[in-house]
Amino acid sequence: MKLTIKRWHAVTSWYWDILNDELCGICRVSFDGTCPVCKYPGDECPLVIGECQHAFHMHCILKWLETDTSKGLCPMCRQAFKMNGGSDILTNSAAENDNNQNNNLGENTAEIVMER
Amino acid sequence: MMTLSSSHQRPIDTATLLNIFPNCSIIQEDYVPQSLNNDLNHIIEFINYGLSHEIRDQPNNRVKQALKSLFSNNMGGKLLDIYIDMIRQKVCHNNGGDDDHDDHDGDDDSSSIVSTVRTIGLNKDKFLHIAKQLQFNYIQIQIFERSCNSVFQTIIQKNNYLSNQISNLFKNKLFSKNDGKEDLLIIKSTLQYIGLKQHMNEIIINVSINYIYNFINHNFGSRWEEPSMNILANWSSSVLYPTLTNFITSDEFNIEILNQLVKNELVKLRTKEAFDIIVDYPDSLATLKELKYCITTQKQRQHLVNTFIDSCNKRLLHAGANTIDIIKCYLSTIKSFLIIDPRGVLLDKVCRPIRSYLKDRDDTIEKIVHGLLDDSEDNELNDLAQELRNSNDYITPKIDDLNDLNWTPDPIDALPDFRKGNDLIESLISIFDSKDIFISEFMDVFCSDLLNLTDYNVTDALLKLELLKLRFGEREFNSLDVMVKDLIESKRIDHTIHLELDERNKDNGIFHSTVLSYLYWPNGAKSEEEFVLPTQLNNIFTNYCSHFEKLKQGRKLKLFSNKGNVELDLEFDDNRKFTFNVSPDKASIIHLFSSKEQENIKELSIDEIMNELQMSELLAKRAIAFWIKNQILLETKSGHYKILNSLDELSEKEKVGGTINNYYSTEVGIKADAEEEAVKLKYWPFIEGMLKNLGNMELTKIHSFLKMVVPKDNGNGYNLSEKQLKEYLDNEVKVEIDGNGYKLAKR
Ligand SMILES: [Zn+2]
Ligand SMILES: [Zn+2]
Ligand SMILES: [Zn+2]
Repeated sequence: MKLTIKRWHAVTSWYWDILNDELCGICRVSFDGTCPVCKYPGDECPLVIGECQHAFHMHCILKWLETDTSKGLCPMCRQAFKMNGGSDILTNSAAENDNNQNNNLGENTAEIVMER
Repeated sequence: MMTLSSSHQRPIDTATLLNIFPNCSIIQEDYVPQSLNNDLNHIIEFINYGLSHEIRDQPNNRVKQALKSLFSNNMGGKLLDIYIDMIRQKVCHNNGGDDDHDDHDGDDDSSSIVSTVRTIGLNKDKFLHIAKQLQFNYIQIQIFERSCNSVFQTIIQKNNYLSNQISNLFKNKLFSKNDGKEDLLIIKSTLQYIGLKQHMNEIIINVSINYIYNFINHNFGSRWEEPSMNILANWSSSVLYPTLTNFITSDEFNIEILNQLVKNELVKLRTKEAFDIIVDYPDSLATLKELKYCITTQKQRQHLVNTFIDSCNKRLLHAGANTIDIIKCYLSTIKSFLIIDPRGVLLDKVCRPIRSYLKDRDDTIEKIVHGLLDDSEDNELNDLAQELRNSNDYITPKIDDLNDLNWTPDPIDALPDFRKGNDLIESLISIFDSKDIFISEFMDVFCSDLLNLTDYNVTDALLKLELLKLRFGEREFNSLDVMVKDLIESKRIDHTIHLELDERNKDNGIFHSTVLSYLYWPNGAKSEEEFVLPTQLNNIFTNYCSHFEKLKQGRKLKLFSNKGNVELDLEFDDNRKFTFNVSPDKASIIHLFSSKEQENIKELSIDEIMNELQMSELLAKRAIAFWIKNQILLETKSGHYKILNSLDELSEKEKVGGTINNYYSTEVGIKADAEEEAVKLKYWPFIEGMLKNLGNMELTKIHSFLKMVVPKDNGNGYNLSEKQLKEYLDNEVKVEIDGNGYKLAKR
């Protein structure tokens, strides 16, 4: 018998590859969902991971850092929140999304986006 | 028979009178001089003679003198009283024994009735004649005639037998084409003569109404496609009216009144037929319009409403009716009753029982949602899909009222929601208190539609989604938006990945994927029965994953191994060639057999298969059964299987079936998989329930039970042959053979 598979249309699901938590420490929503502002998960509501290894919805942590009470600290571990990673992970799509999301991203936002 | 002459009767004198009428005023109260008493006796004798003989003699001189003497003594009034009493007594006496006719009912009755009635007329003539001979004045004659009439009226009206006979006679002859109308005319004029004109008219009207109803029922009963009123009006003026004018003598009777009677009877018939007329909509459109025009009174409306609700309860709103039929009837009811009564007052009343019944049915929402979203011709609630497609009109609610000259103010008994019927979808949604419960149903339908897509084409889904938002409000559709967007995004990802694929490895090109944001999909999206893919297939998936991870950094893919669709070709040494579209579990199993064959392993056991693929026995056995049925695999011994490389390996009997299968597998086999699964899913709950309750059942019993209990929705009720059922049960791992029957397998 000769078997030829011509086409395979599979069903998959995507998930953020985060080791520690499943929920964003700020909004308590799954990383695979969105921050309270966004409608579409994934590209439009990306994640960031700090040097302390704590992960958040990008929009959640930005909003937090803007507040006076944050003093620039990670809300989970109270260390200064610094983005993990380099400028190589900025994507055009993320830059577009920034505009859409009406968030005042800081100068260094570009470095924290975990998107292509 | 009633006759007034009786040879055995004694003449009446005052003594007798006193005996018969102890309260008789003339005798008791007043002193009557002997001479006047003698006069009175002479006159009474004269009257008695007249009453008992047909010959009408003139009063002799003695009588004339007695009359003169009486009248001059102002005893005319008393004589009148005496005469009336005598008449009454005579008529009642002679008529007393006539009630025992009720038993027989022969043809002769017609003539005997006529002669009875004629006798009454003749008697009245005679009584009047005698009265005149007694020289009463004009007023006294009038008084006498009235009393005389009332005596005869009592005879006719109190005697059921007689009045029924008269009614029957009219019923049989009034509208018959044969002769015999003379009899009716005699009866009619006699009854008028004795002051029963009204009674006579009533009989005729009742007989006519009956006749009209039967005529309408015979000619237009159960015929609703054409209007009937033109023909009826014609019939009424050319047949009915000319006949009736001979019999009904009334200033108030005219053709308009007759036409109204005809309309009323038409309404009566249509009211009785209401339920069927509405089920027949739109074919019954003509009848509905006519009904609107014919129905005029509040009483008729009320009767229509009550009758329709009664029929609904008896014929529709019970466990035996299927939900689609109830919804269809509900929609027809809305459309039909808005024709009969555009204000919606009647509609509001008749809708209520159907609405509350639908509200309590488990599958109403499911059926409505499928009705809305299914564009195929099989959709029995196609009206809903059509209306959804026309939803753009819905954005601006119509304000026809301002321009409509026939506008009538909302009646006070109308309830606030009575206009809901104007929009079919809205009227269905409004059955339920909240729109939210529709959303999860929408998600299930979209989920299965979107997951069945293999070309990422969401044009149709997007359109439907927009239309639904118009109806249900944007707010609730977040998840559905994400689901549709997942498909769009999946297409983009798939395109990008395929651009970057390594062309040297051809295998990788076959893989495409729908990538879900799993949190936003209903549970139906997740596969319950996971397994491990054969290595070669898994490599293809991993390759795709690595591209995805490069594209979407920080994210990974998880495969739902049992979802999706695999298109594959199978070719055999004996030139059989098939194309199948199957689920990945079936593809994996045939792939396993194929690769083992290359390692020269010809036969695999169920345990080996389950082990290699980490697959549940249930899933594995189902897939194997599918391949056996399509003559790709062969069971060598219990639980052991091999590829059927040549039909020669089959026994003669199996081969016959084989050639047939061979013929259609290439054509139909593509769809067969999904359909077969659906069929099994449909019957399984019934089978499981039966076996759970009854333990062990024989094939024939299960077969006839399914025929009874599986609902016939969408025209695909239980339609397996007993042989097909056996095949299914034998392959179904959840049941096992137990003696002569089947029982649930122990797990
Ligand atoms: Zn968050
Ligand atoms: Zn967000
Ligand atoms: Zn931290």
